[in-house]
Amino acid sequence: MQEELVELGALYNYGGLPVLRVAAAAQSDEAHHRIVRVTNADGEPLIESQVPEKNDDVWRKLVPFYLVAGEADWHILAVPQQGGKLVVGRIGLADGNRLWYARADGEELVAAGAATHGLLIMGALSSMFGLVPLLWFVQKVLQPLRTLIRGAHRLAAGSGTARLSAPDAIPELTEFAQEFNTSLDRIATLTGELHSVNEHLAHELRTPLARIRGNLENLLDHCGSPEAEDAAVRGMEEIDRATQLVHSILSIRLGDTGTMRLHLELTSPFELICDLVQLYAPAAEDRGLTIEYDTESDALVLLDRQRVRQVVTNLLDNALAYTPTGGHITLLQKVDGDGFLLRVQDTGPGLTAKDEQNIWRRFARGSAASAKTPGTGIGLALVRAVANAHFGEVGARNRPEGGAEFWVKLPLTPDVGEPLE
Amino acid sequence: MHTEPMRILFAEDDPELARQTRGWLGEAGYETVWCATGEEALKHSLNPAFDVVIMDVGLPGIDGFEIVERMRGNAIRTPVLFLTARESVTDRVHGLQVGGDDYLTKPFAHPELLARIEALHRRATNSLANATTKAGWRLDPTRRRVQVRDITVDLQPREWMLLELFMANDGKVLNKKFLLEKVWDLHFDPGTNVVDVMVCRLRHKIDEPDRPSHIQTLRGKGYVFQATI
Repeated sequence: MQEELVELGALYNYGGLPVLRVAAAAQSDEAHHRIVRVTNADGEPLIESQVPEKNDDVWRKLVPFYLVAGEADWHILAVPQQGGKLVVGRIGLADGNRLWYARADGEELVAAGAATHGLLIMGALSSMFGLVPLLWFVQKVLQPLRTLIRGAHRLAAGSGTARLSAPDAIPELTEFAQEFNTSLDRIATLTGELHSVNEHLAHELRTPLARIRGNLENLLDHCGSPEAEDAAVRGMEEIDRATQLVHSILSIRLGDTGTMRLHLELTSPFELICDLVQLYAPAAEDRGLTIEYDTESDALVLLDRQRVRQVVTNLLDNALAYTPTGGHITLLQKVDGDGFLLRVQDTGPGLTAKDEQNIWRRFARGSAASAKTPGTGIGLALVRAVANAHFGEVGARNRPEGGAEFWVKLPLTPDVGEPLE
Repeated sequence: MHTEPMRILFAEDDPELARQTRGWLGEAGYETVWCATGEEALKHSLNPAFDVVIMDVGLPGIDGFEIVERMRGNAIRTPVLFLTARESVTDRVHGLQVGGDDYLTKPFAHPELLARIEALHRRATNSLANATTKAGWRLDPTRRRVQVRDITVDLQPREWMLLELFMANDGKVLNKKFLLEKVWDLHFDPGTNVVDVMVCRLRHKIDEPDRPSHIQTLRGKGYVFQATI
């Protein structure tokens, strides 16, 4: 629909009212309620393809407007007597007048074309000033640009292998696509290097840790002295903690840089969370807490199960650590058109303003943490990193009735993850 | 009971880790052939005489994934446990796709290595029935019920899985990491002491008053289930 508005605008700029009249006659179609009209800057009609009084009251609902040449705005008007809606687009013309274009079936067209809106305006501007013929512009600039945008959308959706192409475009656009792809190749190389550095780092750390752990195990088995056994056990516990910490830090780095490889599987979030709630319920009970889980749907979602389990357990770890005895932890989960949403609510002390800024950062701990509160301060940073890797979002807030709420939102089908060899 | 000792092919390029591990395998009564390079490991891996293969992934020369792929290509079906410093799910999945049967990341606890080897060798097949008889229990898997003397105990699904795992490894040390993976499919240790509490619950359900517990906690190691106490 934008396209039609812009083309009509370009025709007016090219040949004025006489040319537009011919075009409008072709466009106007009472059965589908398409209307073309031109007004001056004050909104007084110059021509209109329909009987003016019929829609006068509808037009009047639109407030006076200011549009520079090439700028457009869109309105959706209820038309009770026709039992429907009218989509009205207005564009500023080169001579200061306004072109109006309305369609009763325009709603879907507007939604579908929203992404290319800005480009059309640009195109209309250049056409208006007589710089380029419209057809040439559409074929060599606009269509290739749309192809480029589609490619860019695929890239933004996380497809690391997508590349831009503009085969029939003007040389500048083709060159742009090539340059852009070269940069992407460079980024892909760097990402690959980041992964191999991580693997290397993990290997270089894990092997010596394994050697030390093995020796401590032998010490524990053969020393026969309670003091030495205690030292060996503490040493092993430290090694296990360090191993998990290194793994988490590397995961956070991958998640935050958008290079985490996900292993996506069709998963029932309901089952995944139920299992974890059952695992945590006895530990919560020991602390005098109750856990409640409520779900609105049992849909299947593409998720990296291990990573999402880590998200849920980290949120539960936090809730258990910060909620005083007698408290409640509530998990609310739903899957709808927007994606998967999990909210974990507690009846703890809530968050301070400083917490709200800091808690998602590495090694930040909540203000309510005491020396006894377990945790390394890395859990929420990992939650955010995993959500990032799924192209999702996280958030936290204080509930009006007291306590904190943490939420994680993941899109339904994250088009991410390297294909598994 | 004992027939031939289990024969293990062990490929690991780190000499210190290899020394320790060979010690543990020897203590457990296994016969071990050790190799430190990919070429050597490949040569031995095509010999069908081994009962279990422990394969380091990062071997010099040919990596462990490739060796196992070639093994499977040559119709050698010996169970393989990958021992590796790579922890990502992608690597784990890759390891299983090329024909590995299990995956253990470094650093590891040696009882866990032994438990996994045992599981791969299917020695544990009848130990569930054995342990049940030894303990004098009646098990009803469909209802997840255990009859201890004249008391019937109902178990939650995961409690049941936990008990089965313990009984199948009667008398062996199982660490927390192994239990988390086998019962809850968690490949990390959560920040809350969930496993300790779960084991504690299970103990309360199956133990009889005034008698020692079936499940002992060994500090720094894990838990040991004993059918007869």
